[in-house]
Order: sequence, then structure tokens, then C-alpha cells
Amino acid sequence: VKKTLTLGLGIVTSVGGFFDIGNIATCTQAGAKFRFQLLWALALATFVVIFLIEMSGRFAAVTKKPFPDAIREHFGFTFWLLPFSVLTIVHLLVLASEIGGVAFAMQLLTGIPASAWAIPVALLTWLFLWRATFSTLENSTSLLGLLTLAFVVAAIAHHPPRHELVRGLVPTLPHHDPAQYWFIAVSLIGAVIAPYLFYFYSSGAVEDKWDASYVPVNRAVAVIGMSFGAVISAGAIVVAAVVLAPRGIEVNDYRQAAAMLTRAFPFWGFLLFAVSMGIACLGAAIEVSLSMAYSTAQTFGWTWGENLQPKDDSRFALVYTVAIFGAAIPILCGIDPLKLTLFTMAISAAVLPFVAIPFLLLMNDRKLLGKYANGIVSNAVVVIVVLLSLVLAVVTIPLAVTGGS
Amino acid sequence: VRKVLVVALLLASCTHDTPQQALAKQLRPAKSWAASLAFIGEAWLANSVPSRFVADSVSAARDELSTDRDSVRDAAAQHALDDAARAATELGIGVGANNRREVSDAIARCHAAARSLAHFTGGPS
Repeated sequence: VKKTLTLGLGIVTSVGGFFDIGNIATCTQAGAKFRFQLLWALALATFVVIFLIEMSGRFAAVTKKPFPDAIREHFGFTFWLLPFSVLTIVHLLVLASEIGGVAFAMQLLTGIPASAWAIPVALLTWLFLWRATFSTLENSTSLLGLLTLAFVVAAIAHHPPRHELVRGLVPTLPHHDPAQYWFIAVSLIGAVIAPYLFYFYSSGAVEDKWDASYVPVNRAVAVIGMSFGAVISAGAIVVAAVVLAPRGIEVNDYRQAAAMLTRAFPFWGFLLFAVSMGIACLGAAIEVSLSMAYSTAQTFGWTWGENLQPKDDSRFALVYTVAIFGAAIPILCGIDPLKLTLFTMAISAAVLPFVAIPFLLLMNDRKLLGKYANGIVSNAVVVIVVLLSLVLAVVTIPLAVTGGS
Repeated sequence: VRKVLVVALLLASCTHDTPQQALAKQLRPAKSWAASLAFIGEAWLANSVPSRFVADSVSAARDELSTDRDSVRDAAAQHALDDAARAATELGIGVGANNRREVSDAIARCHAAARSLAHFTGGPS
């Protein structure tokens, strides 16, 4: 019964946790600018993220250790210091983008500028982390995150042409604006394969005391949960493609996407968009903050755990406190949340080698994982991910120069 | 990797747009904003978005249009941008006064402005 419950909650968590500010920004841009043509990038990224999530969960369940802990133990502190530093900077940018997303949702709901919401949103995020346990956080934000299914319902209501949807799943060259096409494709991949997800997921598995018997549950959560999450992102692409693209609307500002659900839900559409955005980003902000605290504590060998009282893991609590309020500063200063998000997602794609290469090394350690070490298929996928991540790392910056808005 | 990155950066910095392509790129956000305002205005008429959101969008659009107006040298493009800015202002005034007729007229002007700007940028208007 416990495992069935874990499976159900895990799927809900994945559905709610998959969709965040990066997905909202890149999917609406992709749909508005290239209609269904970038669905393949979402499908590719989802395929990759399923494998990586499954591996991080399997690793944590079998070894009872999260990734940063294992990397530090196996390869030494100095090996891990560079990837850790780079990923911390990226996580900070992602956290700023998520806080910007909640702040912008509040602007839509109240009319008060997003910059004025930066500190209250940071305070709310911090309060959640300070007061709640891991399972409370995981379940409450995820259940509320199911509101984002509104994008799927709207997409179905618009009856998108099926043959175009299927054609979009096959990579094709763009008919116009190639630099922007590839920039959005890279950003979309960066938004889906968010590094924080793996650290959050593996640390969560340790917090939930998973053991080897959870490996099948983990596999089901990774496949079903991530696939459902991707369906929500696909819903956002479809709605943008059907509602915004024919009108010549490109999403250069979140306001331009805010009314996209009103065609399917004339009365509730605007509210649904704002609330979905707010909840999805708040959930993600909590996950990124926790992920930063987890990876920092695990890197330096501190006591960690969201189920502990802050007084019992004060350095862990200090990390998320500093991260949250530090990340609120760019939004407080009035930086455009959409531009920040797109830049961050592209950078996320560029740092993927720092995530993928340690995966390849650790998941093949038979001393650690025994019969649960990677097989041929998993290794083939990770090698493809490593190659893909190296290509993305090289092309991202030139694309950001030529194709970034 | 570093060498490839340097080459890629050099290639990226060497790509030159023709003046028409550069103008199209510059006007694309303005065209998108004109089309967005028409859409947002229609949503307001259908009671789907609040007035404060329309006002906020009009303000953001006017900022973009004003920035573009300052940087564009082409007289016809400047004229199109002025039309778009006027339509945005009228939309804001119409929504502020709760005048549905005025808002409908402003929406038609936003559509017209988007079409004018689409002459420079291409794509749907």
C-alpha cells in the first residue's frame, strides 16, 4: 500500500513539478513563433529526462546516497568543486526566474508591479521551507500544480490538426529565423532537463527512505510522471500555436501570453493562466531552493534534511535562506523575468555536461550499484546525452548572441 | 572545446544582416505588440481580462514602440510605429472610460498597425 501511495504521489509530483517558468517561457515562445515545429525538442528532452530521473532515483534507492554525496566521496572534493560551483550559479539564476514567475503572476492578479512582489514571494518561499516537512512541501505544491492541466484541456478544446502535431515530433529545419529556432530549441531542452530536478529527486528519495525495493516504483514514477509533465508542456505549445501564432503574436513579454487560455475558457482563462503560473513557479522555487541546500550540504558533508528542524541543520537552512533572498534581488531591481528566464534556460542547457558526465561514471560503478548498475540501453542513452550536452554547451552562447530575443 | 567555442563566436559575430533584414528584426517586437493589443482588446470586450491588465499591457507596448521609434530611421516604418502607438493609447483610453465602441475602433487600428508593420517584418499580421 505504501509503495502504491508513493507511486501515485510520485506521479503527481512529477506532473506538478515538471512544468515551471522555463517551460512556460520556452513552450509559449516555441508555439507562438514556430507553431508545432519544435515539439520534437520537447519529446527529445523528455526522453532524456526520463532516463536521468530514473537513474538518479535508482542510485539513491540502492546506495541510500544522493548524487553530490557520492561524487564527492568517489572523485574527491576538488573534482566536484567546479561542477558544483557552476551548477550553483545556474540554480541561483533558475531560482531568480521562478521568483520572477510568481511575482509576475501576482502582477497579473493584482496590477501591482512584479518588482514589488519580489520580497513577499521570497518570504513566502522561505516560510514554506522553514515550517514544512519534505512530504508536505512535495504533496501540497504538486497537487496544486495539477491546475496546469488547464493547458492540456485548452489544447484539446482547440482541436489542433493531428497531422501537424505528428509532423512536429520529427525534427525539421526551420523555414524562417533559423538562429531563433535553434535558440528556442536549446532553451526548451535546457528547461526540461533542469539540473536541479536530479538533485532534488535523489535527495527526496533519501529523505523518503527509499531502498532497492523501490526501484520499480522509481521507474514507473520517472516514465509516467515525466511523460504526463511533458503533455502539459506540449499543451502550452499547442495553445500558443493555435491562439497566438495565427495572430502574429510572439511572446517577448509574459503579458503577451497571459490571455492565451481565454479562447478555451472565456471567463476563467486569464485567472487560470495567472494562478497556474504562480503555483507552478512557487513549487519550482521551493524545489530549486531545496536542491541548492541539498547539494551544498552534501558537497561539504553537513547535516541535511528538510524533515529536520532548522536548528538541527542550521547550515542547510542558511543556504536556502541566502539563496532565496539573493535570487529575489534581480526581480526587485526590475530585471525582465522573461529575458532572465530565457537566458537561464539556455545556460542550463550549456552546463548539462556537468550533470551528464558524473551520471555516466557513477551509474557504471558495480561496487556501488551491483546488479542495479546501468545496462547497455541506459549507457547508450547517457552517452547520447553526454554528446548532446557537449554540442549544446558549444552552440548555446553563439545562439544566444544571434537568436536570443 | 574552447577553440570550437571561439570559432562559433567569431562566426556568430560575422553574420551580417542586410538593412531590410535588420529593420525587420527591429520591428518584429512592435508588430507583435500591435497584434497582442488587438487580441487583449478583444479579450476585454468578451469580459475575459480585467481592465488593469489591458492598461498594464498598453503601457508595456507603448514603451516598446517608443524605444523602436527612437532607433528606427526609415520614415515609413516610423509612420507605422506612430500609428501603432496611437492605437495603443486609444485602446487604453477606451478601456479606462469603459467605452466599448472606442475599444472596438482601437482594436481595428491595432490590427491595421500590425498589418502595416508586417510589410516590413513578414509573417502573419
